[in-house]
Amino acid sequence: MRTWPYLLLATVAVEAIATSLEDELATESLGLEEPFALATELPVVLSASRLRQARADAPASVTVIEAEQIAAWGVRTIPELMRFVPGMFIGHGDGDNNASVTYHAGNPNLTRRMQVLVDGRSAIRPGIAAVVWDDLAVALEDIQRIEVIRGPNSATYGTNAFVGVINIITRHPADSIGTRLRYQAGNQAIRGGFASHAGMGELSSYRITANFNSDDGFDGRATGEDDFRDGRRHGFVTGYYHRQLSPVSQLNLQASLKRGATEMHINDGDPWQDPPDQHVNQQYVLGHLQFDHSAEHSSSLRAYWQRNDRRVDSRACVPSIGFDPGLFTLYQQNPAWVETVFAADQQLLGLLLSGAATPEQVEQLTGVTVTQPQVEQVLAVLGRAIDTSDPSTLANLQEESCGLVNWDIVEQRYDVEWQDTYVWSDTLRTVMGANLRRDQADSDTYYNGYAKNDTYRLFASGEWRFAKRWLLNLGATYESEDNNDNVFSPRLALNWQLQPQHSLRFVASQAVRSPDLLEQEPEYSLTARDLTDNYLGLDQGTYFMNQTPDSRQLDHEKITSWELGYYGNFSQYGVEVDLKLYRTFQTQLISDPINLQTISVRSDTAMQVQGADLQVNWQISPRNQLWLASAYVDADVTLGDTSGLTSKDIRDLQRVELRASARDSVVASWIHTADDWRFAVSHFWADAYGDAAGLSQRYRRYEVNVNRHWQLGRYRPYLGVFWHHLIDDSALVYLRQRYEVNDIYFLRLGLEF
Amino acid sequence: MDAMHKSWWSVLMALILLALTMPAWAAEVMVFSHRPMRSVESFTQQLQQLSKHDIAQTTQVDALAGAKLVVAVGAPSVAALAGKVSQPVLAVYITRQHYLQYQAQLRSALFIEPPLARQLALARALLGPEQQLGVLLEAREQWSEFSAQPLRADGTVDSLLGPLRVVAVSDYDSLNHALVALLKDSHALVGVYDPELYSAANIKNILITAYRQNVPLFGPSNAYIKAGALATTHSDMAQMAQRTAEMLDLAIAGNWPAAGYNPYFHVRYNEQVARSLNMVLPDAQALAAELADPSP
Repeated sequence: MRTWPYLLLATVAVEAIATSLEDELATESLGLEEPFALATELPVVLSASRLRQARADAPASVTVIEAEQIAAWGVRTIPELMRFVPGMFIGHGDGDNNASVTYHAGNPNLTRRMQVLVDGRSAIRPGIAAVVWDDLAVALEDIQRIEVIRGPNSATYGTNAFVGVINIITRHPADSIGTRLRYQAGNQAIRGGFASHAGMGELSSYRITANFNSDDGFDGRATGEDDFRDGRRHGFVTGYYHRQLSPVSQLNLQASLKRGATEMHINDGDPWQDPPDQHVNQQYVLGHLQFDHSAEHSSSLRAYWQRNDRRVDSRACVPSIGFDPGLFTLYQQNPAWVETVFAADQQLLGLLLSGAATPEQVEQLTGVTVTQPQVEQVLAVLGRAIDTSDPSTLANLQEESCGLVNWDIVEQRYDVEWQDTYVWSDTLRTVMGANLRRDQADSDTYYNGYAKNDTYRLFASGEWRFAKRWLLNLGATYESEDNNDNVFSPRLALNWQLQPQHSLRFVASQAVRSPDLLEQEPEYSLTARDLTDNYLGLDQGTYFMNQTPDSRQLDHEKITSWELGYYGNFSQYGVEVDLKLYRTFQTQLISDPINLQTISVRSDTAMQVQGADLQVNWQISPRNQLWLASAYVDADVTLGDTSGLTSKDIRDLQRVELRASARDSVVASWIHTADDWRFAVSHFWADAYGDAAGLSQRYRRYEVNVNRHWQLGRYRPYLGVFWHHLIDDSALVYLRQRYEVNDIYFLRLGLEF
Repeated sequence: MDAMHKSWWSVLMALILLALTMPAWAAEVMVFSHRPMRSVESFTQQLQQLSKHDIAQTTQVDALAGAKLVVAVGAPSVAALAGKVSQPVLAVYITRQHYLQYQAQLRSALFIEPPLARQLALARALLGPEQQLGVLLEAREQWSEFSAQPLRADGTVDSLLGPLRVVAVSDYDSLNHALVALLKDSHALVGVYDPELYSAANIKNILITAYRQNVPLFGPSNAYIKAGALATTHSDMAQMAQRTAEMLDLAIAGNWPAAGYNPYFHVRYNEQVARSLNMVLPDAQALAAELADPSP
């Protein structure tokens, strides 16, 4: 739904374009040859349905980052750009080696409560909900603008637009015409290359971009060598083709091929013999047809397909008994019992091997409730391992066997959306449409094969200027899914224009996030191939630990948000201010980690978040701009059913939603633009990550980007230096997310012509 | 009965003929257009009200014989008069470009378009005096048609009240290539009155490309406002008549004014576009007054 991007199509201005009778006569009835006749033939180009919505009319809190700022800040990744958005926190997933972006508060391991769109294509993985930022396949140089909608917006963007939407809009090929080359290199093994060429013909334009990015990630500690295996190397080629099909219709085709490798480290106690690095191959094709039927009516059809093939494998060594098929089914019935047996307590073994163990005795000894058949199943497993007449077979309990395991997954998404925008009058406009989406995943490990989820969505919103200074915006989405309940997500926004370009807004909205295929319907197990010799005589075995519920019956994560905002543009001072006061109630949150070990996944965490976001843009002079973003976040987590959890589990759960947030945070950036050079100095201050969770990792850093260009005829070479200095030594979110040095820098060389 | 009818008809015809032809030899100033047009009639009426001179209108070249002075409305009218009249001709509603083309047969002219300097001043008034403005031309040589200030090799121009960059399409592979180069550093695109460059075919491209980068287009004339230009200065018919009347007074007094732009104008906005670009616009009347008299 990109074309109702949030800074949407403007409302038809109350004042009609002033064209007096004289003008009409002079320009239309004179009937002279040019310029008069010509003038009358001018089409209405920037029609009401084409114009973006004025900031003061937006039914949400929006932060817009333009290409100019992206170039001025000079950061390498999109998450790094999100640091400039009030209330956004950047974390890093420990398990996936992937940056995470959190708005106000949320799980720092993966970005899944936020919709991320690139020209309308969702970057959320179809199978395992998360945004893998390295897989976005968009070069920062190709971005025209990023509209960050801070607040739930399922009414316009569907499920997953839970706490916000990051809407990335790439440049039209006609706007990037020519050739652009760039190379960068710095410490921490930072390397990056970019080459792009765009051209155009009479009716069409195209762009081809190739890009690669690599670095060696965190160092794992504050001193010494980089001993943390978390580097990344990703590259892609994208193509963009635009064609004007007729005066009222245009076609836009995009396609991409991407390859990448993300290193993974091995934690102490992991059974992996090789680092389970992720190797990704990704493709997508997107087609977008836009029809401008008239100045008042436009519609669009967008369809895309994307495929992500992720290969992860490692050799794993575990006790052979873990591959006994008897344990696999028993684990499904009584995981605690299997875990207890697997811990191989001598007393328990003695009791079991005595041959006369009763469920009561077992419970007395271990505290685990079991049934007689479950005891017998364990006896059968032990019987395969141990021959009571041969004491040497006891060693089988200690036997380890090694095999190849994988977490390979192929995820695909098919998405088709029709959208229709109609301007009924100067005061009323509507957008409505329908969307069909198929998310599918193929993985032996996660789903025991193929899994899919189809979603059907209808959406509509209307914008009604019911009085001169009042604008009412009502929107809603209705979604029906195979794997989850049907949902209705409404939004109401009321904007009161105090003065032109000054408005107060009140926004009430509800949004949901659908549990993904792995959360809701996993068939998660690890099968090891090419097993080394084992007493079971297996060449291939499935580890007992598994998750195969028919359906977890998880509810949607739900958010209700109340927001009071003010937007003001003091153009005489060049100051733009946006203040947002909010309170959100999030319920049915899924806080449990989604992994093989976590047996019980519940959607019962509740979180209340309240606070304020402030954004100020001050154009001090044409050459100097100040960007200020600050946030106050007061978040409180209430856990649901914690029965069966250890106190550590409970503490971890309590912390997980809060550890990537800081109660107070400020970002200030000064951008100076001279004729042939430019610099940006930024200061980030988060005091402190996880403070609401009793952690306190203060994060402060300076960042400087200087760029100098020369115009030599049509050639424009440039040279840039980016340098960031971390003031605090504390790790980012998790302990080992730190660098051995406090300074990270790189040099950038480029040429445009 | 029949005879009476006939004579009634002949009287009527004579009266009509008289009515049609009489002003032709009676009027001091003849307003000429190459074909009948309601708007020219309306322009003539306004002129008649404003001027103390005897003014009439015709579409017949023959009817101009008795006039002291001819006002030709629009370039086609000027073309229609070529070599056919001996009186001095004042061309109105004519572009500067056309004026230069027909200069030999014209005594003076009132241009239809706003001067570039005023459009630049308008852009500066709305965006701030220090913002760099961009001007797109078909070819560099055209610059002298719009300004007396010399154009440097790097496309900059001195003392047009602030930074300005001029880019010529002919220096690039395509219009878009030139536009991209220009929009990179410019906060507004100020249109020049070049109907070929700013043709109906190009205007869509120019407006959309600039808008995608949040860059507004100024002018080049009122007609572009509806298409999506942010603002322009514009002289309406009353103001054209007012200036024409002034020029006639001077001409008839033997003091012919030089061909030039209309000093009377309004400021026109496209409020929708301004709103979409999050701009607050000052009062158009006050701004027009300020631009007309730039002294502080």
